[in-house]
Amino acid sequence: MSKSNKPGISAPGTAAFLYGVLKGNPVLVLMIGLCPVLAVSTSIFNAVGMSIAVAFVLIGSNVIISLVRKRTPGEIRIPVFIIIISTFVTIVDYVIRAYSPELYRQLGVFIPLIVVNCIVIGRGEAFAYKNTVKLSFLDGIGTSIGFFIVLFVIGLLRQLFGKGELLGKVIFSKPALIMILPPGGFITIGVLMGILTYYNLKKSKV
Amino acid sequence: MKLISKIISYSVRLTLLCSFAAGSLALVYMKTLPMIEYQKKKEEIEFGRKKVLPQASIFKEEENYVAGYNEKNEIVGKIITSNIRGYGGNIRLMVGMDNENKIIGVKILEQYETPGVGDQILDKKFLSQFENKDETDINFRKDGGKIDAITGATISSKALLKGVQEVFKYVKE
Repeated sequence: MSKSNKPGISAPGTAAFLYGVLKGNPVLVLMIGLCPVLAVSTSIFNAVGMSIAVAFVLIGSNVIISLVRKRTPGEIRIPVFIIIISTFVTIVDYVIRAYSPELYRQLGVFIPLIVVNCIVIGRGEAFAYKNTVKLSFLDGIGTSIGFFIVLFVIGLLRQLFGKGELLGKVIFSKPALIMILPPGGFITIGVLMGILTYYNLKKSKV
Repeated sequence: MKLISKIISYSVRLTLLCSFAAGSLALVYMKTLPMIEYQKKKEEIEFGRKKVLPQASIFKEEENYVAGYNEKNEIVGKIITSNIRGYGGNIRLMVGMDNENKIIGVKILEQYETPGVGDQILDKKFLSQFENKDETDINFRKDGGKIDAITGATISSKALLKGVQEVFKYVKE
């Protein structure tokens, strides 16, 4: 899955970093991890909180998986990934509960559910298990940023159209309730997917 | 022989990893526990105490209960928390009472009842039955009280009732 030897991109570090943001954007291109994206992207606050939680787990587990990869035979790699990921998720769970109960109430069950988020285990399996710690770290950051951007934009759009307010200011007096409900999430993701696919296609033609 | 050494090697690796994970989790747990307890308590104060005893504005913690005072520093009531075993686990509830031992409000702080069935004890309709009642009223209708149990959630209703009765018993002592 590493795109390090693709022509046009020189440094493998930059490639690992950029892959998760654009070409391999977890949500819009690989279309994984959609469940938390749909569920918690109803406001910017939730989106940012969720992204930070996922980023911590993703970067942490990528680094640890990469560290232990030479001592992990292929047959037991999945249990190893799961243990590492769930440890990080539990840490996040405790920390959010201790320092931001407000966020904890909002995200609720979706924090423990990061354990089964395909993005985290996907990057561990496809990238960290085969690459160095440094590259895995960069891949984690890149994928996290890609996830963050998508979640932030969806959260912003849904909050704007669904609740009609932004930064405490009322913009629409009659918001479209559907945008807060699951269909609004699907519509927003669909539109964003279209835009990014168009961009990626156009770029690959050049 | 080869298979056995493989099994041992894998087990050792996984055990090592797990103990490492457990160790770091224990550390984080110990570090965050006081803060989590503090947040729980704060929530209890903000969302609980003022709901079950709205007349009071200042709360003072006594040994086993919380005394509520109004602005003139007169005691207007007390709040007692109680733990009772429900259908799915522990139910923690909070009861606010005035000086005549009449219930002002009941609030459930923690419960693990079956979603959709037992957790109907959280309904306002059920909980508001307890308001303005004194000890003799706190019983099911068939037993001479004034409380209706939730259809289909008898055990959970009973548990809550018992929890409130317990509070009365405690107040008497």
